[in-house]
Amino acid sequence: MFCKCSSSPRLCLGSAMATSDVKLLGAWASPYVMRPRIALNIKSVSYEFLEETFESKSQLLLQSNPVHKKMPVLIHADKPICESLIIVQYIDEIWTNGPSILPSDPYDRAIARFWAAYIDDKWFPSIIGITRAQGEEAKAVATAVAIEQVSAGLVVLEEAFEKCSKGKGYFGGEQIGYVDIVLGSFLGWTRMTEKMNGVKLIDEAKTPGLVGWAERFCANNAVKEVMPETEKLEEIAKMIQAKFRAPPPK
Amino acid sequence: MEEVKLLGFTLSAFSNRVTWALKLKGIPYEYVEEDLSNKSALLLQYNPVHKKIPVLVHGGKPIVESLVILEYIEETWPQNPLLPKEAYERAQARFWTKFCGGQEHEKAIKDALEVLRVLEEQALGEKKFFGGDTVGLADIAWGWMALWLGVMEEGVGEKLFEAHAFPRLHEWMENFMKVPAIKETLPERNGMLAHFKRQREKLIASSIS
Repeated sequence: MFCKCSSSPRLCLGSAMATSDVKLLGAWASPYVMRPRIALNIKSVSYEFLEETFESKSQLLLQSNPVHKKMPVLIHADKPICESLIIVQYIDEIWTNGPSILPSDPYDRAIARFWAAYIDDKWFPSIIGITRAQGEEAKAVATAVAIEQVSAGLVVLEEAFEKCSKGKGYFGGEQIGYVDIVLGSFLGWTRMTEKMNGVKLIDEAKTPGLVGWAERFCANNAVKEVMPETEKLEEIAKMIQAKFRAPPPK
Repeated sequence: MEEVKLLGFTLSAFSNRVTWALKLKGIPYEYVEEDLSNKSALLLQYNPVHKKIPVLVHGGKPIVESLVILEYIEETWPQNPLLPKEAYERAQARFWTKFCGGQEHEKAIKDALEVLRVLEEQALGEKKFFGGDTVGLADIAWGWMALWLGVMEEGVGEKLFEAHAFPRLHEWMENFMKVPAIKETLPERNGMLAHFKRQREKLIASSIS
């Protein structure tokens, strides 16, 4: 329906833990789908990417995730696993030879899970708030309020970055970890929102740490090929807005 | 062993999840009941981001968010496991635990019945508990329903959740409430009923104005 990202399954680097038994149902534009892809890349696990279209859901998706009917779904040895964060934890637990995604210390793991919940439940909904505000009549005020909320959240995340990274490049330290994946998967949509609204959300003045982190994250080998291009996300966003603005059918 | 403290609220679903996990594993802890209309300095210090209970404090370090706390408890005190050992089964348990989300007793009845249908048919199946033969994370996450449904039905004055329509869930609820660690911590029913009625009155009043 619209051009798909030309992502072919990443070739196995000859490591012992690659399996041909791994499939991922998803769509290139979805931040949630990006998460298991990054995790599998970190573990050097090759997988078959089964692309869902934007308009309709495949039989396989409906069968594999009958409760929520949502992607991503990881299918490993024919067994489905749903929910992006549950999938990432599963990947971390199954492929133990690769670098760890969650920290090993239980307290550090709790901190990582806390920030993941904050990002998913509090921060990302505030970004959606900006896109929704655009579609409303009183958009100037609504947009300003929404932007303020997102910025306030980013200041909280900047502090979290400083504490978690302990001077290294990622929330996970030297390497990409759980929180990096959770927040980083939203970078495409964040940039798209910045562009469409002419604002800087992650900026040098308030969140310098995150500016550097974002660049590092997007350039990382596990991330590069699966990060969607901002322009393509803009097309989708415009389609979604058009749907919101369209008069209801008679 | 390092000291364990729980800042909670006896009528909170989220707080009870943590109490149940600690009791099931036999972990000694100090309980501090928070006055939610007048939050303590300690609570605000330990949970500056959300300012909410429950907060588990272990050796002076705070952990917040009930599901995050449950995973921490499971990893730190492995006795009487709440999660299966096998990765795929763990993923399934986490899925059903998360499915509960932030379900509170005010959620619309129609939605609640749909959710119950899924639980009855898919999550529980033939098992005694969501966790199998013993209580697991998902049981703890859903356990609140076991308490509140009875209270809600009494408070609203009608049967919302018929035993014949959800036989497995009814049996699960009875079994859950018989587990010693759960039984000894159940909040007093009249207190729960009074709380439910107050919340309901507030809701009705706010929707009229």
